[in-house]
Amino acid sequence: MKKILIFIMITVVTIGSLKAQFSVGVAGGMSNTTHKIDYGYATSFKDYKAMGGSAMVFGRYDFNKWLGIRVDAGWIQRNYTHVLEIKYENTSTTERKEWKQYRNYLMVPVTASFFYDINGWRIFGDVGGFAGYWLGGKTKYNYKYGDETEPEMTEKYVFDKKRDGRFDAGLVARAGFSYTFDCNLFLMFDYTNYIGMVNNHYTGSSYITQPAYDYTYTLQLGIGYRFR
Amino acid sequence: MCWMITEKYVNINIYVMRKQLLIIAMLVMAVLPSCKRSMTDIKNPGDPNWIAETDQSFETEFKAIWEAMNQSYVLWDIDPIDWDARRDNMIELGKKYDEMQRQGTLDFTSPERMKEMNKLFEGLLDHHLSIAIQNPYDTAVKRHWVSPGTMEVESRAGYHKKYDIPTTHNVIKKMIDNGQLVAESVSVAPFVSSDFEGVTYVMTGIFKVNDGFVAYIRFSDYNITEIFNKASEGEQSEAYKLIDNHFINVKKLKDQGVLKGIILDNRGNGGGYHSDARFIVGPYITSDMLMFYCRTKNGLGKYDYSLWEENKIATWNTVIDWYVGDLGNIPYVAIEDMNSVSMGEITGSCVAQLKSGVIIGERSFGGHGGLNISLTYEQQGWCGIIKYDKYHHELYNPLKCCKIWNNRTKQFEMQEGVGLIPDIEVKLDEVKFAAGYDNQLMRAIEYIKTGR
Repeated sequence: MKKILIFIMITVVTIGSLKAQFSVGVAGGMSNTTHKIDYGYATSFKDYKAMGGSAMVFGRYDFNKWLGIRVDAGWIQRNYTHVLEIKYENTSTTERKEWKQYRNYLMVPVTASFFYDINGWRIFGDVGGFAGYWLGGKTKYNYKYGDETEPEMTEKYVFDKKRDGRFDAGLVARAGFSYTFDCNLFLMFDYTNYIGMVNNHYTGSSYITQPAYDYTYTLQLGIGYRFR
Repeated sequence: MCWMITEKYVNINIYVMRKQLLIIAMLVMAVLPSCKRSMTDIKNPGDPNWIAETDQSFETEFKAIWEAMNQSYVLWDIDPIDWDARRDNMIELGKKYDEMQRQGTLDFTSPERMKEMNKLFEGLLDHHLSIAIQNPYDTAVKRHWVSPGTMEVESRAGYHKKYDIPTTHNVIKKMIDNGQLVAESVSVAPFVSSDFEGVTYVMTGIFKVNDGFVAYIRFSDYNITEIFNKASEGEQSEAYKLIDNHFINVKKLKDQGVLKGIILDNRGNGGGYHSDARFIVGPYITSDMLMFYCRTKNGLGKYDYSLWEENKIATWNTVIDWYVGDLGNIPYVAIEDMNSVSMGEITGSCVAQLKSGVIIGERSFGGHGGLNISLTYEQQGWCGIIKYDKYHHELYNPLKCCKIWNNRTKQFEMQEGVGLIPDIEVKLDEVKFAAGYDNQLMRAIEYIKTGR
C-alpha cells in the first residue's frame, strides 16, 4: 500500500512538473482474429483465423517525456472461419461446410503509453484495456462435397441473444513506432493485441458451458498531428 | 526538505521505471495471446467409454440422453419445451427405476413405466425424433422407443392407422369392379430395398375421366433414386419399369391432349431421399425450383445453427421421354394423410408450388427435418448407436430442419410438428375404405373433373 501511494505521488508530481503534449490522428490496417472455443470431442468442428480490416481515430496525451495515455475508437473486424468437415469412411469422400463470419466491432481501447523519443523517432509500448461492441456482420457459406461445390451464399448475421454475447472487454497491449516531421505531423505504425475476456458464446443451457473468446491483433499505419 | 527528497527519488526512479515498464508492456503483449481458457464439459455420445458409463444405471442413461438431446436437437429456438427443467424429471425417474430395480419391483415393459418414459419427451416438436431407452440391468429386454411425433399424431381427432399400398390396391380394384372407377391400368410392384432394409412398393395407374385420363402414382417410400441406380447397374426391376412407364405415359397423354390430371398419392409414405423430388416435379418445371430452405446444426450450443440454405430441384428438360414442361391448367393433385411423413410431405409441398398444384386429404405428419447417413456420431446426434456387445440407448435425431412451402400463405415456413395443411380437407372414411371405397382418392378425381 505504501509503495502504491508513493507511486501515485510520484506520478502526480511528475505530471505537474513537465509540459504536456496532445496528439490526434487516424490509423487503419488489417486485423487478424482467433476465435478461441473448445469443441471437445467434436473434432469435425474447427475454427480458423481470418483477416479483416480496421479503421480508428485516436488521441493521446503525453504527461511527460516517457508516459502518456492513448484512447482509440473505431471499427475493427474480428472475423473467423467456422468449418464442419466430415470424412465419410465408406466413400473416402470429404464433406466440408465453411461459414466465414464477418463481424464488425466498435472498439475503444484505452492504454497507458510508455515511449522513448530520439531525433523525431518515437518507440512506444502500451498496456491497458478495451471495451468492444459487436455491431453486426454477415456470413459467407461455402459447401464442398468431394470435388463438387455449390455457389457461395452470403447472409446478414442475425443475432440471437440466447447465443451471442455482443459486449466484449479485455486487455490491450501495443507496440509501435512513429516519426514526427518538423510540421508536427507524424506517421505511425503499430501492432496491437486485443485479448477478449468476456464470453461471446452461450450454449443456452445452465448445465453446459462452451465459452468463446476473441483474440485479435491489428497492424496499422497512422497519421497524426502533435500539438506543441 | 521533504520536496527535495521526493524530487531526487523521482529522477532516479523515472529512468529505471520507464525501461522496466516498456519491457513489461512487451512481455504482456507477447504472453497474453497464448493464454488458453475454458474447457467444455460436453461428452461424446459416440464414445464407447461414455456409453459404457451410461449403461450403469437408469440415472446415468437418462442423463446421457438428456445431454445428447441438449447439444444436438435442432429446434430449440422454436420448441416450447424447457429442456433444463426436464433434466430434473429425468434424473428423478432414473433414480426411481434404479431403486425399484434394487427392490426387484421394476417391470420395465409395463404400460405404466412406458407412460412415464413417454412423458419425459412429451411435447417435443421434432416429428422425426425417436429415442430408444434400454433397461441397463437387463439388455435382453426389448428397448422402449419413444416418439413424441407419433404420440402427437395419435392424439389427433380422427386418427387412423397407415394403410399400405397392397391394401389400397385392393380397394381400388373393388372400386373398378363396382364401376365407381374406370381404369385403363393399375399395377403394383414390390422392390427389395437394401437402403431401406425391406420391401418397398410402387403403384401406378391410368384412370379414365370424362374425355381424358388421369395418371396416378404412389410410393410406399421415397427410394426412387435407389431403384434407378440399380437399373443403371443392370437390375431393371418391375418397380423401375412401372415408374418409367408412368412418366412416358404422362408425356404421351399430354402430347395427345388427353391428360386431364396427375395424382401423386403420398398417403402413408414414410419418406426417403430428397433427390427423389426431381422425379416428382422435375418433368413439369421449366427451370430450377426451390424445394426447401434447410439449416444445419453447426455447433454444440443449443442455438448453433447454420444459415438457411437453399435446396433446389433441377428441371428434367433433358429427359426427352419424360419431359412435359409447364402443365398449364392441368391439375396436379397431391394426396396427403396423417401418415405422410418427411419426403412424403415435402414432395407434396413441391407439387403445391406448381401453378396447378393442390393438396387434398389430411394434415400430414409434420416431420420435415433432414437426416444424414454417416458414422460421424457427433454430427449425427445419434446417441450410443454403436452396438457392440449389447443394445444401447439411441437417439434418432435430425440435425437439419427445413422451411417448406406453405400453400396457404404462399411462403416457405417452418411447419415442423404441424405438417402440411391441405387445400381441400378430406378425412379418410375408414368404414367406407374397409368396404372398398377410397373417398380421398375419389375426391382427388372429382377435383380434376370439376376444378373444385
